[in-house]
Amino acid sequence: MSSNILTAHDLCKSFAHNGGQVHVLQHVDLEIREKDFTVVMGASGSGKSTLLYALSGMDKATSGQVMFEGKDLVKMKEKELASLRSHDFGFIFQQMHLISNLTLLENVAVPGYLNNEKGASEVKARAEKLLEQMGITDVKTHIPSQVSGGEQQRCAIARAIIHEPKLLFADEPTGALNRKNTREVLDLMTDLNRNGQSILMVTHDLRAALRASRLLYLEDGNVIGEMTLPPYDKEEEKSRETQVNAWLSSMKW
Amino acid sequence: MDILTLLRANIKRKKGTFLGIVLLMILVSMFLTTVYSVKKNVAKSIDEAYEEAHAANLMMNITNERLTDELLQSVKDHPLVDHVATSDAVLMRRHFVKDKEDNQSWLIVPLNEVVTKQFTDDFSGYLDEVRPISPEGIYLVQGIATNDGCKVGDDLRFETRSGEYTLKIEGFVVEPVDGCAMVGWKTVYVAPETFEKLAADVDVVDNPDLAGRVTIVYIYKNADCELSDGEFGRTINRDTCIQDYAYASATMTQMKRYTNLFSEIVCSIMIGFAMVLAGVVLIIMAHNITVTIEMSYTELGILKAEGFTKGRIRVLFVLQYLLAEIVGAIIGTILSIPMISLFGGIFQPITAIIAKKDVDLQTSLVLLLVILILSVLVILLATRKIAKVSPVKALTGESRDVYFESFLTAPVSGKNLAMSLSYRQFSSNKRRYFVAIFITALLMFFMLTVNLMGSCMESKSALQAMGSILCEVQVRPQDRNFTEEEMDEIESIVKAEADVDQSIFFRNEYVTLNGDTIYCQFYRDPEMINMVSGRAPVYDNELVITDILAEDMGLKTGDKVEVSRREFSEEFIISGIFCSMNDTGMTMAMGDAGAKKIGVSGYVWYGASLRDSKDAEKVGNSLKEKLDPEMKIVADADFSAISDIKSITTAVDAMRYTIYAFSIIFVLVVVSMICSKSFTQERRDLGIYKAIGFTSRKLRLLFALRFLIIAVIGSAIGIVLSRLFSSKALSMILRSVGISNFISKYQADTVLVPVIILLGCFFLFAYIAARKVKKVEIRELVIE
Repeated sequence: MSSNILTAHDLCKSFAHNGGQVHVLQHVDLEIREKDFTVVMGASGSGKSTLLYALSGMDKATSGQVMFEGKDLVKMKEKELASLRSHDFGFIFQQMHLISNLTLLENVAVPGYLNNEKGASEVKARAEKLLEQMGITDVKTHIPSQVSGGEQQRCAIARAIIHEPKLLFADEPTGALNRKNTREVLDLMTDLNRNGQSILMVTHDLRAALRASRLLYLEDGNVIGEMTLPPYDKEEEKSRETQVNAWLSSMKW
Repeated sequence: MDILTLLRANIKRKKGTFLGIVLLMILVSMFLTTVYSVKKNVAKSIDEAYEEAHAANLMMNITNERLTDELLQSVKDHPLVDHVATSDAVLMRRHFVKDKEDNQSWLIVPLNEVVTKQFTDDFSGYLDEVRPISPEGIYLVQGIATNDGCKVGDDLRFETRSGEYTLKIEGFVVEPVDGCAMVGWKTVYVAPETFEKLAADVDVVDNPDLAGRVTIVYIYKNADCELSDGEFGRTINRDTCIQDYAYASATMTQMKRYTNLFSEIVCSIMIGFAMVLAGVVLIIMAHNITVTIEMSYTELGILKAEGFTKGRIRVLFVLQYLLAEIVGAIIGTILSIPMISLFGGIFQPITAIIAKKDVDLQTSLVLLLVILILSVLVILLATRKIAKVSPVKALTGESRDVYFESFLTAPVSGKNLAMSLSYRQFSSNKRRYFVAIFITALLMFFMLTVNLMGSCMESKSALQAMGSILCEVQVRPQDRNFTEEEMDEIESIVKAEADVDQSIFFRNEYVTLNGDTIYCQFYRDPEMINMVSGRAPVYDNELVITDILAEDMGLKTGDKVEVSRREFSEEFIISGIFCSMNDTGMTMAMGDAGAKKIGVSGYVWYGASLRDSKDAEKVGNSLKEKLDPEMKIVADADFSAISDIKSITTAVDAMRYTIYAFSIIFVLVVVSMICSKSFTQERRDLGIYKAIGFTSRKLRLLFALRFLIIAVIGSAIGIVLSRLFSSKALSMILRSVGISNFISKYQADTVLVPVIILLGCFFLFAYIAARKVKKVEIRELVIE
């Protein structure tokens, strides 16, 4: 079994609402293992995205610990968190969130430049290569509004991995895509995982969940179930679907 | 009622914009009210002071030898003359204030009842009545304090052939006619018994033009005389020739003009600047409205969907901005009250009259009303796009911004990430920043123009090129002309000690030119005259005039003119145009041959402009060693100490710093407003940048760099505008002080100081305004 890359202990997140407090995450304990494709599922409002943002340091937890390489993300200052984002973590958003006035190539390259670990020309070459891998070389000089949603999401994936993150977070990466684009994006992520990329994804899409090597189920801010799966194989997708569906039914999904 | 509800909501929601417009309008109304009030107050105070002093329409100084009873009687009998008054005076040209020689000629007169106002010792007000003067005391005018830096209690010394006199400055009185720093002679007052002693002791010397007893003649025109002071003077002189016998004369209009000259110039520049500021407010408003319409497209669509007509929405905009302007105008007008006292005081050392502190509410209100009317027009123009807002498009989100490729777009570079990203943020949304660039260019133009004006006053070569005679070494004989031998000796001593750029033997006198009294310069070597066109007056029937005089009298090169002086009257031909700042540019010049034709002979002043000012002391010492000890020798490496315009540098500096200060405040408001709009529009992008690892500090830096780019472009345009127009604008404005060909000297600090100020302010204020970046949470990107 691979080692833990990220652990959460007693993690809580509350929001002020109508003069009171809404507890979205309630004392969550969780380990994310290296090289796993971990998928968190749950009903709408179960706190999936909140968990993802708390674990990635994009949002501060109300209490508890999120440990990464011996350091607690909850206690980190803005500068340390920014460094974490530009070196160790990658993030894919549901709405892609590309920078509107940069070309696709620039959108991918900028985090690489910021990372400062490689020379500018090396970063640019890697960005070009990633866009090629993602199959969007033709549109690399286009700005986001000039390309399709699928192309935007592929660009967002390339941007998230340009600096070779230790852990890639994905928040409903297929949520805004059509069927064809969804499959292509999931294939790309599966390939990344096969090549050793640790991924933590939240989704409510069964097709996305099928790609997981580990499934977690969240309900009312608590992880209430876990399932481990063998690496994804397209040939066995049908039986995998049956297996996952059965597990989800047991979770009352 | 629905409009009022929306108005309240809009102001509350966009209070930054509202406060920004209020602040800009405070500055504009305060500036306009202050400048117009000060302009009016100074002119009014001068008029009142002249009235109180019963100033004559025509004044002249005539040495006693030349003023005959018949001549005086002929003036008294002139049908246009109401009455004539005279005053005995001693002309004194050699006086030392705090042991430093004052270069102006002084008319010493006994203290009389005409003097009705005396300054407190710190010049902050007037005493209730004029204090009696002691036999050892002297009363001066404030213009002397400005030029020589003296104060009550200081000693001053006169040197005459009869000996030395030391008197103590016991006070400063108001002498509206010649008390200002801009007039080349001054009236000073002593006790009657002191005057009698001084007058008796003053020798009748070999050159009565230089020192001795004089009579000041005051000529008052009849109440029914409708001629201007100038026409009155010309008529009197034509009929009596009295001015031909005077060594100096002036009309009341001229003296008022000299007294008010500099405050008029400064106020004109300030009014120009105030107009620019008002224009900036209108531009900012138009820009703000345009951006607001783009940003609030959905809200506007909803309003339309709810039944609001485009007219009602436009009225909402008009009310919102007009309210901010009115609030700002009221506060600004109130704040102008202390500013009027402060700013009006700047001119007192020059005018030597305490300016009134009245608020010119009438002019101010008219101007503010004009601004408000223009605002309404601008708002209506800027809101015409509201007609095109489609409720359907707004509600379906079809109005999203699309960025287009532009020839200005440059790739984002890894080597220069911050700068290239900032440039991209600018180039992909440049329309939004055109306003800031335009405003920067205008501010830079003004800052440079006022800087050029200031730096030209500190630049010897610039002043010389514009016609000022600036010589580090000056020699004057005591109450007589140079001899031929002395002139040769002086030249050889100076040339032996230093490289000389220019040296002149010179004298000056008022003569009449076609009936007008004009300041005439006589040059031993006319080739030294600073010619603009034509040629120097070589022959005995040639003279040159300035283009200011040419325009004023309708003359040109080649014209024949009549020059009169005492019993001489000769015809001359204008051989060219020269430039000179003497007598505010209303001057003419001729050579030795021409001078002799009208009875002028000999020279009383030598000046040498050295290639290296540092040699002045060496040359001075050598001259003192070798020349007759009675020769007056001045050697000063600091040319500003001998400049005839040093008294106005304080006011120029005040103007410069005011324009700097207002520019900085305007930059602050403009940057804050544009930054705030950009921030709102780019909030999502800021979240993304944070998500990929940018810190708030880095993002603020990107904002600041973007505004630095704007400032660089704006400044560059401002510099080009200044190269093209500053000299022309200053020539037009400074024509009244004799500068018709302003020569811009762009020195490093002339350009660098405003550039650094503007660039620094843009960078700093944008960095501060972008502090809200800290509040952008990446969580805002989440869709649950």
